[in-house]
Amino acid sequence: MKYAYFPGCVGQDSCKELDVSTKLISDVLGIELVELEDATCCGAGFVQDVNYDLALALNARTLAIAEKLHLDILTVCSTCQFNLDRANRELKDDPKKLAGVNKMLAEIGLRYSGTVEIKHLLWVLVDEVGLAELQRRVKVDLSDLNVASFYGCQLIRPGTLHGYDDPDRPQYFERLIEALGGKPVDYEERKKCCGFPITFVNEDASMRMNAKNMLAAKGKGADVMATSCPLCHINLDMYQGKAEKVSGQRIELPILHLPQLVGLAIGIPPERLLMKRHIVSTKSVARAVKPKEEAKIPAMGS
Amino acid sequence: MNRYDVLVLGGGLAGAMAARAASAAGADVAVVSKLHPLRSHTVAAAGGINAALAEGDSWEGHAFDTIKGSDYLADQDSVEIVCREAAAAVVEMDHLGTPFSRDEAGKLFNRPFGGHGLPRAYFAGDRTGLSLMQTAWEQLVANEITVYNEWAGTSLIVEEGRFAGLIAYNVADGRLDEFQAKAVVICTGPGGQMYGKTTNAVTCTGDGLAMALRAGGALKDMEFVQFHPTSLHGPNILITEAARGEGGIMKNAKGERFMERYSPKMLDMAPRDIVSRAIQTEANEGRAYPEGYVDLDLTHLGAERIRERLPEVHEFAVNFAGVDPAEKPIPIEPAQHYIMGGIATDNQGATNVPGIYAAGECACVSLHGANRLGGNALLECIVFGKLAGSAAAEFAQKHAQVEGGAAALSTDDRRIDGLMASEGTERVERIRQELKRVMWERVGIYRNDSDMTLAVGAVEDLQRRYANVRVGAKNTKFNYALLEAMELRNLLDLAEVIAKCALIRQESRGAHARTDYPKRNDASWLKHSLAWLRGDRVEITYEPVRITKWEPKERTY
Amino acid sequence: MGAEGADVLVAMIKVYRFDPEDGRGARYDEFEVDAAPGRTVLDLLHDIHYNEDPTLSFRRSCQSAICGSCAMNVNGRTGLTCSTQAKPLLDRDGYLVVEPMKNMPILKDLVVDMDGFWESVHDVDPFLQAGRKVPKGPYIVPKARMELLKIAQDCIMCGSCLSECTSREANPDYLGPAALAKAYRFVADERDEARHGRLMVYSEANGIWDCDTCLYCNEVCPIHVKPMDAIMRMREMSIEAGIQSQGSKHAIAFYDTILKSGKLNEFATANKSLGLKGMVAQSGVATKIILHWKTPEIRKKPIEGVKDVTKLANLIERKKRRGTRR
Repeated sequence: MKYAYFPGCVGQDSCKELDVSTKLISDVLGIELVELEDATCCGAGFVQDVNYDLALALNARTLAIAEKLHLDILTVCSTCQFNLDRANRELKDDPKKLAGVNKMLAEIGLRYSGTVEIKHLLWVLVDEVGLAELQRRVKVDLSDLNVASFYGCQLIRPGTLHGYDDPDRPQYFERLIEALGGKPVDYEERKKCCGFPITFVNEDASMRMNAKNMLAAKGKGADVMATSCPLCHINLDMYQGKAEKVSGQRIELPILHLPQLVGLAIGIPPERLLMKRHIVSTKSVARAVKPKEEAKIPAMGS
Repeated sequence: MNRYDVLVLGGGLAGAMAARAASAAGADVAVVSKLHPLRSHTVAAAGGINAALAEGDSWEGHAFDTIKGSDYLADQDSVEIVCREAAAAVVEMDHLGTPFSRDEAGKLFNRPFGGHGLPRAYFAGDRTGLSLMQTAWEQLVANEITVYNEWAGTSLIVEEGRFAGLIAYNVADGRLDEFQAKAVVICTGPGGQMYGKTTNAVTCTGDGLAMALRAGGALKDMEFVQFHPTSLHGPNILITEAARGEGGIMKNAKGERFMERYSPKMLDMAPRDIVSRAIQTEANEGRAYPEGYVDLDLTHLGAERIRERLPEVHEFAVNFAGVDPAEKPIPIEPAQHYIMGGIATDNQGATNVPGIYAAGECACVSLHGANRLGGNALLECIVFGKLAGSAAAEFAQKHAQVEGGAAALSTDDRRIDGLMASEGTERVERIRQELKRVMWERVGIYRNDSDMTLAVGAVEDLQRRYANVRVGAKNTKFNYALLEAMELRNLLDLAEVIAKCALIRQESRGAHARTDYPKRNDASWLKHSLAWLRGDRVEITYEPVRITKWEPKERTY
Repeated sequence: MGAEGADVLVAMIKVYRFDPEDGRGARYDEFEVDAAPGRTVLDLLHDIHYNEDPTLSFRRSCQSAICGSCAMNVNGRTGLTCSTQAKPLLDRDGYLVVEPMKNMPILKDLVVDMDGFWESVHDVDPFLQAGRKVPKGPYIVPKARMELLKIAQDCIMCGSCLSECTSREANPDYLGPAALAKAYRFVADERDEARHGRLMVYSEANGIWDCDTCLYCNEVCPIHVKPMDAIMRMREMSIEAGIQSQGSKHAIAFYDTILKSGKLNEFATANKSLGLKGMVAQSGVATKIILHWKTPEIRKKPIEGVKDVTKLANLIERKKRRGTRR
């Protein structure tokens, strides 16, 4: 398993724990990551709002760079996944558009012929590392942990774009949680929007959404929430206090990134997963993790 | 008390255009509609709207095709009006925003339609009806015209021989109310739900026709019922004629292009009545599939062309029949589709009852005579909707309000109370299904004396049984069971008229095909039937066909 | 009508019931139905209404997915019941449940109050505002430009999108996907002369910038309209037209950091889009971020290929000025 790693922006900045934990678990699980250090932001929908053509060109550039390496792209952010996927699909479906974009890429010494696939870490973990292998790698007992997944809209919709999960009944995250030994929480809001895209426009509405999602998860017994999108993480974790204020209710729900959950399960200590960085304390999660047997912590770089 | 100058009953394309015209003429208008206007059956019309806009075409050509298509029963002065106005109507709708399909250069794009000598159907993708309806409704919004949504008309009030108002039933809360006005334009659209197989919506129960009949109006040419040849077998969803216009070919179970036998020149693009009868003959003679359907083959068009030119056909085939038209033929069968007959009006949309006007499918001017050509229905709605709306406004300006709806209101009140209180043994749905079966089997595509005589008797029997019907739902809000009971009464009355008129007409003409009188007989039957309700009985009279330029000839394609 | 020759498939279906008059409150009734292949959810509802319980209320008309009457929430997803096959849902979930649309008050059983929906649509002035230069004949509009309307023009106003709209759920004043798709249909129409005024109105609060891009509308639309795409296009058009709003401020701030360094500068974006006042209002959040060492970088090191970004941006700018746009 070798991938061109698209780290995204937030995952290496305010949520750099995402990048760190991604690399740690990839190392252990044998996913070789070739980081696309020169790739631009995917646009996150905001560049698209201002200049759709430029966003498309920038993503085409990223795809061309990966294609040169003869590698598919791995993402760790639902928003990156959607924006890259959308660009890829547009270019693949429309030869005229691809030709037009390639004319521009030629001026920067690149060319894209439409051969790259983009996969989110969640799908790679389930489909390629495999649930059986993950299960085998689990070094701790997570049976006390009720884990609520939060996909992030753009990972599961639209159903016609990604092709991995049924947008009405997504299961990849839940199957992963089970394989890791945790108990997935069944609640409707796991498919909903975290509110991040409108946090800077209508904070009130964003926080209402935000609070509702987390309270629903808690209502179904969640001890922790795990998300596949760092932008969701910002709303869920950084803005959890605001969500509490707007809803008038306590939430106190620790929010993990997907690779942090996996890392915990395969025995990587919370400190190395930078779980202390989170605004909402993750101590309760660390406490709920029990040793399976004599837990063997893999040495770095093995 | 709701008081207006002009009421429009029905918010579909004809109704919306009538309301707009009446409002533009200065009348205080309100639309009263059983459904939200955008839910009207207009939206199901696919294919196109005809106009002689292209170079080399002429309104006379359009008129001739229409008159020939009508098997020479159309009133030619009415046809002239519509065909002359057609180009302006299409341009007006374009100016109001209808997103007609264009070619690369930006000009309106047209395509061939059955029975027309030249391609003259203008369309908006696969959804011309939807697009025109949107435009018409948008104009209601733009002009802030009042619409009473989900109010079903129950009776027209006629006092001193003149229209005085309308009683309507509010579906949302179950109450009856009176609407006073000086004129009404009835635009209630189709009434095909009396047939077992119909492309009509469940709500198409001909309410306006029945109300007009009871108010003293005449129903003209009701025996002429059009059967669309290509409805999707099973749910009877209309598969647009445009599917053949784009190159689709019909084949029987043996794989033969059977239209070679029935219409050697126009083949699959022959007029609807000819195609419907062709398919029915194939079925009767054992060459169709056992359930009575044939194949419509689009596979040779390729997936891309189908997706681009016939997106809706593709959706339907996949969603409702589980068939991909690029890979397999679509199962199609005829179904009732349109009623050429309707409320008799003059060229201004006026009926014989002063103040009552009608336009659209529910009216019969007559534009379509014995058989309607595709693309002319939407056109009729626009042209006659406007004419009737303007005429109604003018009438309202010249006349005072006639008072007195109290009696009508209490009659309808009692009727509803009776239905609600009834402990009768008959179920609405049972009677409805039996009606649908008898009409399909006995007054359908192929007719004969004994079948139709049986039908008349059967319908009268169902009417007697209806007196004993129970609704089974006592709630007031959104009591659709009660609404269905009221609609059934209308269907029964209309079915009686259709069966009787069809029985009497001893010839075959257009869509009225009799195995016992297979030929057209102009000498005896070049005339329109008029059905009246006199007391309790349906009486039928006749009036001549208005001929201007085109001498009736044999109709071959 | 079931599929020809198919066996009857008995199944249980749960239907939401509510009658404000009977004092029983909301409940679910269970019915036995035939869910053979080919039967739609509307077929099942009809069976119940006609043969078992005539008090069941639901809207429907055309039964061919074009009138928009029969939108309901089936197994958690809103769509047209007339074109929703029952068996595949049963196979997938092991149950069938039909509920009224969401985000709209329930009037009776499966019938909802769509007044709020229609109000939002009316609010965008959903009719052509033609200019003074109306041609004698039809407008000349090249196919490619008329087709810009394609992502929005076929909307049948069924309400499915609004039912699923997460933004509307959190903010009942948000215009919503159907209204905004309709808005776009006119903004993109060359024959409409009110484009700038429209975009100004739609850029205000509760308009195009309040969409949270959750993609539910694009996903559930039964007629394949793309309301979210329409909203995004209007965002770009309004920025191009120089129309300012809180949303455009944020998007432009984000965009500027990409031009500058190729990657997002979170700090600068928040700063520029919120302004000093806004940043102060965020001080609670900001304090926590600082205490947890989660502050984003204040200055972003440009990627090596940042000159590529500049180059591509210039090429596109030139293309736009020449008039070749998407």
